[in-house]
Amino acid sequence: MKILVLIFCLFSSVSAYANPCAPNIGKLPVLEKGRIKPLNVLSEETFQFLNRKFSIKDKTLSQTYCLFALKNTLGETNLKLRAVIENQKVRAFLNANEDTHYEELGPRLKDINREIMLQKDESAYKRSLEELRKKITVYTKMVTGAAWTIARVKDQKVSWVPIADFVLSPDGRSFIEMSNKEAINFINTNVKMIQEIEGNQFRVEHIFRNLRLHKWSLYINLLAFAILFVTKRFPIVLGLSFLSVLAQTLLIILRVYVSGRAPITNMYETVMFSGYGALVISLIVGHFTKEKLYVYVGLFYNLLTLMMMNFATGMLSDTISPLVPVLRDNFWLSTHVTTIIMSYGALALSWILANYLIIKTRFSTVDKAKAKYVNTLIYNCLKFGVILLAAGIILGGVWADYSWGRFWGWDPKETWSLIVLCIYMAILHGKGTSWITDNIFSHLVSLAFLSVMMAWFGVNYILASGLHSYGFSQGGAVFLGSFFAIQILILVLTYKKDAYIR
Amino acid sequence: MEFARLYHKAENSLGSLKFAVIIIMVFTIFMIAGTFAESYYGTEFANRLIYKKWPFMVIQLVMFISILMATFKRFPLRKPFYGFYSLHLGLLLTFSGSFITYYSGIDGNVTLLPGIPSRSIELPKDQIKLNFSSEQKSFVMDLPDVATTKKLNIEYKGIKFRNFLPYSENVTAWIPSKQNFLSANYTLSNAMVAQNFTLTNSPEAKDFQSTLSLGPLSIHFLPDVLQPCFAKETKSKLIIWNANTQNCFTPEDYKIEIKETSKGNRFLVIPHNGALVSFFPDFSPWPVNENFEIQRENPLKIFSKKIFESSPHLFLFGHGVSYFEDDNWVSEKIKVDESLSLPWMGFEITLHRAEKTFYPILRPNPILPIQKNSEIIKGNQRAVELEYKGDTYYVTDSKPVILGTDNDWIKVSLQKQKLELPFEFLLTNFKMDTDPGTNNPASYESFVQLFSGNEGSKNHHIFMNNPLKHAGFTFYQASYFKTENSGYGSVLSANYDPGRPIKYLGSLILILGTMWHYLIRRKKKAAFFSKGS
Repeated sequence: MKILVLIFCLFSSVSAYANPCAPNIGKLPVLEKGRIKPLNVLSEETFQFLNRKFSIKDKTLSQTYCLFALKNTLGETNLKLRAVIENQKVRAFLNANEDTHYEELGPRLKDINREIMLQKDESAYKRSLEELRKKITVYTKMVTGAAWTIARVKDQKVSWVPIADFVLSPDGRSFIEMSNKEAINFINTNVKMIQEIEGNQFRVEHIFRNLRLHKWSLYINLLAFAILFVTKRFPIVLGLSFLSVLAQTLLIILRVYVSGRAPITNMYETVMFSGYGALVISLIVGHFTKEKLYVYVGLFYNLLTLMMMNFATGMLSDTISPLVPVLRDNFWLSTHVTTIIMSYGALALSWILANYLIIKTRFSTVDKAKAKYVNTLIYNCLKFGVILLAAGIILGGVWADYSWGRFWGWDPKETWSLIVLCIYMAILHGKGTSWITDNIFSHLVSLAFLSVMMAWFGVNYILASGLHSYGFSQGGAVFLGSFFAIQILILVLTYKKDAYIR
Repeated sequence: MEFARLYHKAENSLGSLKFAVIIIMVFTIFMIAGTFAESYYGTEFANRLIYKKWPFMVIQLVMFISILMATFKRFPLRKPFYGFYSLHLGLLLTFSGSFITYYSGIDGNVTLLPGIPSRSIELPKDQIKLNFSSEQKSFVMDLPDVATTKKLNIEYKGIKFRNFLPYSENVTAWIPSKQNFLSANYTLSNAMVAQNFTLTNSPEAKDFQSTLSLGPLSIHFLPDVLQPCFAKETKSKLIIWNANTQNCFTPEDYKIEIKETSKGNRFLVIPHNGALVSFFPDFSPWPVNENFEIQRENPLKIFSKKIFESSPHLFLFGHGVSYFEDDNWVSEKIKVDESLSLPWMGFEITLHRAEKTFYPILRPNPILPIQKNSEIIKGNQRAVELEYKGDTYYVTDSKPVILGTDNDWIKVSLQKQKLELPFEFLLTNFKMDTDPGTNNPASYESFVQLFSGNEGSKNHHIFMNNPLKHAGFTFYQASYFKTENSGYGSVLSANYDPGRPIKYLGSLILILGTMWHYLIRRKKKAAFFSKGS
């Protein structure tokens, strides 16, 4: 993708003007999609969707959002946002180029609608058109001041007014004419008032958003691995692991506080929680068994999950949104999902260990004792994995029974978790026969993890999309496909009469 | 002796680890196939194709036997196997409990409309029901739980039930007609929308009509012999149509005088077969008698083009098209597969087929259902093909068939099996909360009154994660729907599960046994991997 630079004119005129878009505006509470959140979250999510490269010098994204939302009122007609259109066919259809901005596309919504309707079959073209339509709508809602709602208090009751309506009221008119300094006071007063009525979650979320703990955790883990490879000093790696755990603990606590529920309700959170849980458990197990390998494997898996959280943002959305009614039961949600996610974490550790062993066996030398030892570690992970998975599946059944009267309904998610359990049970049973030798045990364990990936991501990103759509997250399908391909490639490359045992 | 030998053989083969691996993998492969079928064709289809069909049942039975044999193989009881015993006992119990649920459990829906008491559970089973006009009795026949078309070959009182189509979609079929009425199929389209429709004048074509409204546009389908009169520019803009002779004329053709009443309403009198027929063309197409009663039996009808000038009306005559535009009536001809531009919003009309010797019917056609966003978007219609007195009929779950016998009738309907409860529900209130500032439901709650014979009535509050338990049944808040008068109806799922305690006990023993087996028995680990050097 080409780097899309900002279109931004006459920045000096923006700051010289009476300007309520003060630096602290990100704190302001907003009601959007059924939840009160700070403006900085709305701004970041909006620009992430519309044009993630966009920024205005010396302005926060919240200030930028504010300028766009008040564009017409403040007379900032030069403020433009470049549209991101990746599909070449869509570009050709719209005669769009590098400099096409959303403002120009607004009037073409009709053409886009018609073109979408004319597409009989699902295609990348149609999907891109639909995506663009969504973007134009979001942009329009931003610049017309419809998306940003501002809290007004009357008789201790909060009502939410779109900013477009607010600026027409007497209060709003004076807000528009405020200088930066006056606006700071106005914002602080508003925040304080709403905090007293609605609680301080949005305040915490504002700070949480700015802390970017997932980034810091990633840096810490990378540093830990750099030190491991360069100096091989275990105490430093261990220290950094603790620091990473600390950062992630804070991340999870803040997220739980803001959302008011267990941190396991969407893909992003399950990835986060499994990485976190795996690292914590491997530190504990590593401490008691005095085995460094556990720490390395746990840290490595944690690194993988952090990379997904930081870079796979198209697939894993960190947006906190209200839950569907049936999931609003913290007890069952925490017990059932946590158990499953912990089991996936344990199985992921077995997967990393298995790959470590097969790669090392193929490209280096591993003696029998070492191989046996690693196999035992893999087996230990599998044990915990299958126990937790069996328990998690049953807890899910009990929850389903309790919530809608069906212990088991052959729903794809539950069926796939049973498939995972069956595949690992087949390996564990087979290990007792002559069919699965110590040689191929690790190969099979690394292959079996693909079933976990299918149950975890595949059900949502491949199965849920059904036959006639490309799914709600194409990124997910690509990710899963690459994962499968890489694992199979590793197995093919390491396929050789193994160096040990016979 | 012989039995003991055989049993030992079975124990050693079915109870072996290798057999366990095989049967687990077969079970897994079936499940994987099931999840893909589910994602393409929906949950029910997957159940009917795989999960609730005998091959999958047999696999589970074989697993059960294998687990049983594996357990017996490790008898007499030995301490190192305690974990193993409990784990496998837990599995056997869970299997048994699930079988009991499958065999004698009840799982259905109770649909509640506000203010209307209900006492029946709708079950997933499909049934054919026959009602006879002469008898009070009705006849009910269960249909098989199949995924694809199934031959029935059942005959009852002269009705031959031929095929059951569990998933079908209506297609238009053209049937040879003994009468001579016009029917045609068109597409009306512009850049935004396209709509295909079939219109008919044939009384045989019960599935189709002669008029259609598409937004502000009204479409009228008329006999082709009428079009020449539409093309005539006359002052009165009246057309008279004789249904017996199938011809038309205008008042001007026969110099029939058009008079006006004192209030300015037009009327005219036409001599016909020696009688005088009076019309008020701006009020009714039918003639009136001296008492101003409408005479529908009269073959003469009158048609005022004036009425159709104020809003968009399209007249179709098979190969002819007429409409009013710019103060003029336009009449044109259209050939099959030709398009004609219309004066409204860039619309054009295409003729696909026009027939007089055939008439159209809707005939269910078997298809694979298609699921999108966990809803069946195609094929969501059940149908049964039946034959009666040499004619073929289709009964669907939305449309029963009435078969006429010599002097009475039989009503054939396709419906869900119903279970009558010994108590009654009344939905008194339905509450839906939304997430602030959105229309997404945050919770839905039903307030019901439960009437049971000896206990009188009691109020209950059913919502997500808070079911109602009564008389062995559990009622859960499942979904809701909007009623015609903008209230809400509620759907409760009703469930009776005698296998529940066994499943729960089995699950508990299974989990404890697994932990015991894997975590407490440490000796096994040493032997699990061959010893290193």
